[in-house]
Amino acid sequence: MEGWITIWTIVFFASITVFSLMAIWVVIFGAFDIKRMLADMSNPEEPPKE
Amino acid sequence: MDRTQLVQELFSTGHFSTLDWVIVIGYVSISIFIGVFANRFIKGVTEYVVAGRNLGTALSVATMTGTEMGLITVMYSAQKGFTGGFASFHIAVVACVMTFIVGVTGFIVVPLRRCGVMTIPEFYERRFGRRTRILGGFLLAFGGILNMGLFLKVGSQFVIGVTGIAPGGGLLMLVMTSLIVLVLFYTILGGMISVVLADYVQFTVLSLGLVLLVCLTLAKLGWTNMIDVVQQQMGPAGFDPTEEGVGFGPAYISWQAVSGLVSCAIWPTAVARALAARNTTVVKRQYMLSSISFLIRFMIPYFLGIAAFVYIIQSGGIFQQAFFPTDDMKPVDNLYAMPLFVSHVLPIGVLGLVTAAMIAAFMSTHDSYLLCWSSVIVLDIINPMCKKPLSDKGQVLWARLVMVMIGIYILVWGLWYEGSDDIWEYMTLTGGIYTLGAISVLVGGLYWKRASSTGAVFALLAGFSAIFGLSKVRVVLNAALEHRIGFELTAPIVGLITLALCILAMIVGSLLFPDKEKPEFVLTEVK
Repeated sequence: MEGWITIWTIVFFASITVFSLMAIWVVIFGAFDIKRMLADMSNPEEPPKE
Repeated sequence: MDRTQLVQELFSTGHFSTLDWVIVIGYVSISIFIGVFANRFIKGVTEYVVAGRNLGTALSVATMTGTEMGLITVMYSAQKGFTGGFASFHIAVVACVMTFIVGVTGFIVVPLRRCGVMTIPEFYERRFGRRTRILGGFLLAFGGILNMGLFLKVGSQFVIGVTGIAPGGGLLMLVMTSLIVLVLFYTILGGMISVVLADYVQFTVLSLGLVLLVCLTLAKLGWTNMIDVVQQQMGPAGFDPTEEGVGFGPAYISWQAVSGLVSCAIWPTAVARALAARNTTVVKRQYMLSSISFLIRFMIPYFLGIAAFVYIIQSGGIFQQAFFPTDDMKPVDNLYAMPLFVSHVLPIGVLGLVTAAMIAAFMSTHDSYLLCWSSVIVLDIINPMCKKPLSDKGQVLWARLVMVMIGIYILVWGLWYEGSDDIWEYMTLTGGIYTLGAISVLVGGLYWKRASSTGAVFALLAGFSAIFGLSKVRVVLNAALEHRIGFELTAPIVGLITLALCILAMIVGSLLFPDKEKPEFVLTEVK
């Protein structure tokens, strides 16, 4: 049982840390993606930028 | 004290304030604005269903997380943590691993995106013909809408629990109606574009709210203390998922591996994000990154469920009496444990923010599901059955109409259905009606040249046997079989048997009834 307690402790705190970092990245770059998506949809003739 | 008095006292002890209401209402207003704003970009069905296939990686991850981490997920996972302790964490780890593997390999989702289809049944038609598309669309919508049936009720239970409105009377109905009208409003208006924009805002609020909630819970209860209480109350089964003491065990873990795979690679609301991605590179990145979201969407609610359990045990008094009565009194539904806990530990203002985050989670799931099932019904059932195909505007109009009908259904079903399963079991089984047949058909169609349309139809129909796993049906089935099979049919066992039947049906059907004409099926990338 001690082994499982150690595993879940590591998994839990590592998950929260990684998720927090990922959330910051998604919030920042997601805003750029929205800007590009709406620009592409406003000008459908132009090919979307990669 | 009788049960009614106990429940009223229990729910009146929280401290949801006016400031919290202002935060929640402010957030809801933003969602309405998004629906109105996104409506101007809707020019046809491609914008409405897949946002013009224009999603970048970060936005894809935001919208997939927003969709998959719904309030229903938070509630049923908290319930699992409440009953299963730390051992429930294994479900999160399995889901993460399966999603990451799909991301690395591109299994199923990459070839699907290459086809340029808008829905999974559309792929069925290209590979297996119209008959399979209509059947697949019907089963998908049937399983999916049934699966969605308890979302609204459970979401409303959260609102009731956290705000301190005592359950009972017409309040549950009122809260449910208000929530569904709100989501229908902005989804009907803006389709996938409003879903994506709303999901982004919801991801931001939800991430902040959840991380804050975890930190405050840890400060209040302490990690070591939580471990000690679970150890005293549940023993080793509260940590070791291979033990069957709290309802897990090897069959359960195997079933979670299947559920983890289908929920990311087959479940249409997740696949819809892959189909809306800009290209296949984005699809792979989206899945690899979202594996963290698939981990967190279970892990944090399990943690909150465990925290609620620990809080109730240590508080004693009316809490313990309500959830673990020592006399003959019926216990309060353990779904209320987590919201009640949240309303007791969070300070004013933060409680409003977390509630807004949860309502965000509620809306982000509902909007995607409503859009997904209505798109499937229109594109894969109604349109193929029309003699003259519907125009783009006609399809969007039908999709909006179907959404309203689904909204009415979930309102009625949520008030009527009362099963004895944990909500998670209900979800995996109702989803399995479609997904277990679909995984056999998709894998066969994408990776096996000899897969035939008859095999596909057989596999899809075999998926129906998942319905035998629902508690009300299973009780009758176990009574009828009694000791003839030597073991009791549990929900995971029925799920695994159904999967085996679907795979068998696909193989046998394809070998016995091969297609006379091979479809012209080319996996080219479509923008």
